[in-house]
Amino acid sequence: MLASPQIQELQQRIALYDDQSAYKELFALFYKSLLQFACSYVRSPEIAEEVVSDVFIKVWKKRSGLVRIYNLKLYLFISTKNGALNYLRSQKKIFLQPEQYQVQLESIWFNPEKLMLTAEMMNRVQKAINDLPPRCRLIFKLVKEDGLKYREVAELLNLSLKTVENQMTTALRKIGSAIHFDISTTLSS
Amino acid sequence: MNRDRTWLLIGKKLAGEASAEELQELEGLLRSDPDMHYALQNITDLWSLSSPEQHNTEDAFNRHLNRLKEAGAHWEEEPEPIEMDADFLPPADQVTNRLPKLRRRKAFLLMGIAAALLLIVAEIFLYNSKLKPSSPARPFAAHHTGEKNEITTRNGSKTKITLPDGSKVWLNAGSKLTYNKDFGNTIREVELTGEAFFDVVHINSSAHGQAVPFIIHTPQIDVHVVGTAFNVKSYPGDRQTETSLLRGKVEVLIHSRPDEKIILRPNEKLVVMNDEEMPRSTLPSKPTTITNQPFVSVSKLSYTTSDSILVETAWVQNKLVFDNESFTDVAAKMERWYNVQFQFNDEQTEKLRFSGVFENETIEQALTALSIASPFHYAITGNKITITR
Repeated sequence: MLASPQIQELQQRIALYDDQSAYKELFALFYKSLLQFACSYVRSPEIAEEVVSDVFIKVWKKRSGLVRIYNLKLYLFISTKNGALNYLRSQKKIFLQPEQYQVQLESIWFNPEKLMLTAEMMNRVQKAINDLPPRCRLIFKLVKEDGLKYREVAELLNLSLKTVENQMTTALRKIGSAIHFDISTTLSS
Repeated sequence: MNRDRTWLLIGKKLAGEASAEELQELEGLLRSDPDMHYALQNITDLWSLSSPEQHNTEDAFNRHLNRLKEAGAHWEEEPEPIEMDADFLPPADQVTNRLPKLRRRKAFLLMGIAAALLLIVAEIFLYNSKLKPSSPARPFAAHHTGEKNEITTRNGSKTKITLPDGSKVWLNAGSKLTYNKDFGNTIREVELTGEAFFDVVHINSSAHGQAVPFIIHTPQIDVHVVGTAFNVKSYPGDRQTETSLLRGKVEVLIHSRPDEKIILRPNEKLVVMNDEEMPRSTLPSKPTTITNQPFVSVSKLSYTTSDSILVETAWVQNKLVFDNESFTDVAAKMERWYNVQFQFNDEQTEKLRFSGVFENETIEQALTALSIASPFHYAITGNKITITR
């Protein structure tokens, strides 16, 4: 994820100079994150793609007003969420409870060059993540993979900052104990 | 042992949200709980992992572009080149064709493109010593600090800009365009040093329904436009400022004569002599051949005799045109065009006169052609060109 000054630079280039390449860069930066986020609501990659595309269409059409957006990243995530909810409303589909979100983390994978963990330990970490409650996993993903701040996640999901902190604590504790479990068994064996 | 506080602080640390006090607290907790070090190390490593796939968003972006166009948004097919070659200027009809899309884009404004072309040319330039390109690494640079936006081009390159109101500006080499952050709201004002071609869209203010004026400020004159496309050239050190109108109507206000407002008709050229306070050549050897030309004069636009190229706007179509001009003036134009520096070692040669059109020629080919027309010798060293008899 880009540091916010770089996002701001793209934002200005789009707003002030109609810079098409900056727009493309912005799309490339956030597309995957927003797609996965939309997918956790609509549960269809095709619909999710349309939702995200609509968000970016709005960005381009209203680009001159982009300079007034204080936090473009959060704006994109919130717009995606609203787009997904609007879709569900239009389809008269029931709203999913956060417990039903489908979230996949992509950045937790076995890389022996970067990790001191064995493949077996890594499997246990993967399992710990998959066993996290969906809302907890979503919050963990938004912070770790999408680089959102705690307060941004709180605003995006209409949660209190305290809840986000607690969910992050839970996620880390469970992942941590998966690793820790491994040491204990290794040491005792 | 309840480690939740530790995990909370680890989370904040990884997410970059921990305060100095919290980091200190975490240190303390880890000291009293050494078992956690190993887990923390691994979690930190895990955290720094990024996704293995390099996502290719190209296809997704193309699908998105199709939907964007279907939604009626304005999108130019070709990414706008920074260094223009051919097709520098879109034909007028093409510009007009874009109107419906522009209108849709800014629904709150009534827009139109008036059929007017204006050119302001300070024809004889000496040395543009005042212009310092702000960014040598890029052919043009845009700055948006504080209240002003500034776009500059260095010698040898041009650029095209779209202003916030949709108006387009082609900025010639060694030029600078400045406009305020609030450009377009109630008034549209730009400051120009150098030369630019403007394609100004007509806008009626949503507040009072009146046309929003577009004003170009140069050191010598102000040009008021209400929907027009035109070209302004006002390099520092120029001896005169020239305003040429191709189509439509513009008003020119000369700073030193605030009571006079000059209205130009199509195919007319207004020539204003720059006053003595204007920045001049830093080279005292440059001839200051002050003609007995009046301070203000109106004449017809000039076309080249051979193929009727309009001399004043040729640069927009990427043509370098000389129309019976002295070698001094030709050299000044070529300096900006090719980003080179001329040095004359012979006064007679400076007074040679040339007519001609260059399009894709290199500096060497251009000099060869000129030296065939009127004999002189030249030597090229880097970007320095020495002219001898």
